[in-house]
Amino acid sequence: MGTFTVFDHTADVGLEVRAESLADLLATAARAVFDQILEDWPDAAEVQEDLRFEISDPLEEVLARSPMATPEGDLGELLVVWLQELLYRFETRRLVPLSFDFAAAGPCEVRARVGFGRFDPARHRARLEVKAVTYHGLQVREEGGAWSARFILDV
Amino acid sequence: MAGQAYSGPLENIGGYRWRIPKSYKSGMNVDGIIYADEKLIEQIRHDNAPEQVANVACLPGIVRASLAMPDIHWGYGFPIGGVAATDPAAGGVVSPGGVGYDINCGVRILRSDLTAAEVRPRIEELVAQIFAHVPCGVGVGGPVRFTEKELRRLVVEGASYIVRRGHGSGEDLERTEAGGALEGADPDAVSPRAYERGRDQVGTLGAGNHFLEVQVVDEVYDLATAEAFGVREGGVTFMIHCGSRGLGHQVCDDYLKTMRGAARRYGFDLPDPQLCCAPVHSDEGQAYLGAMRAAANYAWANRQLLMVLVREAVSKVFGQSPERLGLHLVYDVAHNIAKLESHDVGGCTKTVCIHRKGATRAFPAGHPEVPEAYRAVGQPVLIPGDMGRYSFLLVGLPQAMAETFGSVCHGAGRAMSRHEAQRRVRGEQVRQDLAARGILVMTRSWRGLAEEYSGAYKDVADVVGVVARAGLARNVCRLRPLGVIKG
Repeated sequence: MGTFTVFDHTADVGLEVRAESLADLLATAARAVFDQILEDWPDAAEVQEDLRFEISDPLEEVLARSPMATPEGDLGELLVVWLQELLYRFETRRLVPLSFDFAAAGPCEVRARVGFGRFDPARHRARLEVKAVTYHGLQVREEGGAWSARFILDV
Repeated sequence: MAGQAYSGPLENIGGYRWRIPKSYKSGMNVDGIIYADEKLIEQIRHDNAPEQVANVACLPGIVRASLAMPDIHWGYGFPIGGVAATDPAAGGVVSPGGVGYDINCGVRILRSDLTAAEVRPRIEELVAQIFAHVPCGVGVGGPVRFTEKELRRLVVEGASYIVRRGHGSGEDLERTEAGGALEGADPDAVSPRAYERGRDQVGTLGAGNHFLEVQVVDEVYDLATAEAFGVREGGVTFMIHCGSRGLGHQVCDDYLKTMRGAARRYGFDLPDPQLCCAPVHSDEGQAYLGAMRAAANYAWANRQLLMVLVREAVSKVFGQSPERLGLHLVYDVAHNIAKLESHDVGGCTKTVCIHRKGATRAFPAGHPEVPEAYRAVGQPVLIPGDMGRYSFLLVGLPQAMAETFGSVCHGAGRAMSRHEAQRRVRGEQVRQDLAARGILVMTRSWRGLAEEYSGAYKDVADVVGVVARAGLARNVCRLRPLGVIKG
């Protein structure tokens, strides 16, 4: 697992994540987001689910949309959609991602088996409700094998 | 970016208005105008939010000016506290960023016949009862789990969906902006995922900066209007601040994706991709408006059910029916919304698409959309402050119609990041400080409470003061918290 820090943003929460691979970056970003939501974590993974999605907009759209867009894909979009998938499962089924096993991580798709614990509001305290992962100030970079990402959560 | 100070022009043009001339930045179609006094403008400059005001001025079809209220701060594309109207007939656009993720986040106030003298001795019991009765906090579901079929009806009917099932009255709908439902909601434009997120959240408060408050009217400035609104000094009120929950957040997510591609297809050259938009009269624009209205209606249904739960809790504590306790809705306003409204633009009456993102409608006396009960005085305008100080009830004035498309501020506005607030205070200390001032707090998250402490917000009295001195709305009364319920 990589590392993450919180950076200042007036109304919401900014996160900066660093890791040694894109897969690790995605896993660490997930940890960072849920660290903002939770004060207490579930003890163990009770549910295993396969998450799979592709970023498959026309190349022209991808390139026009984002400074991180490459002919191979839009890494910023990949990160946002990954985190949105996890937040959706938390909000609708109270699932908290605890473990990750990636079969594919970028540039255009994610395939991962995720182990989820169950959040129980009667037993687990939470701190923040995350409305969304925004595109504001979104950055995903790779330099010499070191990966980093910055993004802001609307809370 | 936020964190940089704004270094562009801010010309004091009088009337508590500061202009960013459209010559400041290539692409600006109109000036930017920020309402503030000397003290607030320095805070605003530091946040770099004026840069966003200038960016919004670049929107295709924007009319009159890119406006900002005194509680303005940095947002996503649009500043929080921003108001922008576009002319659909001239290709004007609608932008999800001009509404925000929490579509129809808003406020409602109930008045009561209870007095502070009656409530203070029982405040612990009252706050505990409301806290137990109203679902709040992360991951806490509501009293009803709706099917998608039921939600598809609810997003069309809005607050009346709840009233028709015996929870509330026609008076509640009359005293809600838009009667508690915008016409033109399209349930087909709402994604299955949005319905999934919203199915067990009707009647839930959520967390973050949403809250319920037990308040006392501690100062009345306009006796006649206060009487018309049914409030009096020493009387107890109940304020609810909440929005469209996960359904609304998902609608915004869905349509930001749509609009990002649309803006380029329509050839818009936007200074910030977060201003993504499409013409109102386009497939994308109509789809977004249909979904946004659905989410707005969900929020009104949510606040209606929350109010019913509060009425039940208060009734239980005081052993009388809500009717006997005089628990009547004063008004409900939205402060994140886009609506088609008629306004004077350059001497002509036009239908414009008005975005209020962290801004509140404030219509004057005589306006047909003001409830009949208030038409002689004007629309109630509810401005919540932070939990340690006060909130205000104002009334709309004609000058707001002339200058700001009938809009004013929405609250205090944050002055400090959550991270910084966490560094400065602990939740338990905040609780103790409030208790020392006679304010009881119950919350599911002490860390979340720390982030909401008074020092993290501007003083809403400063914000409201500017709005009043600028002649946009008139102050009616001040409301002080006695008890606060947060998720």
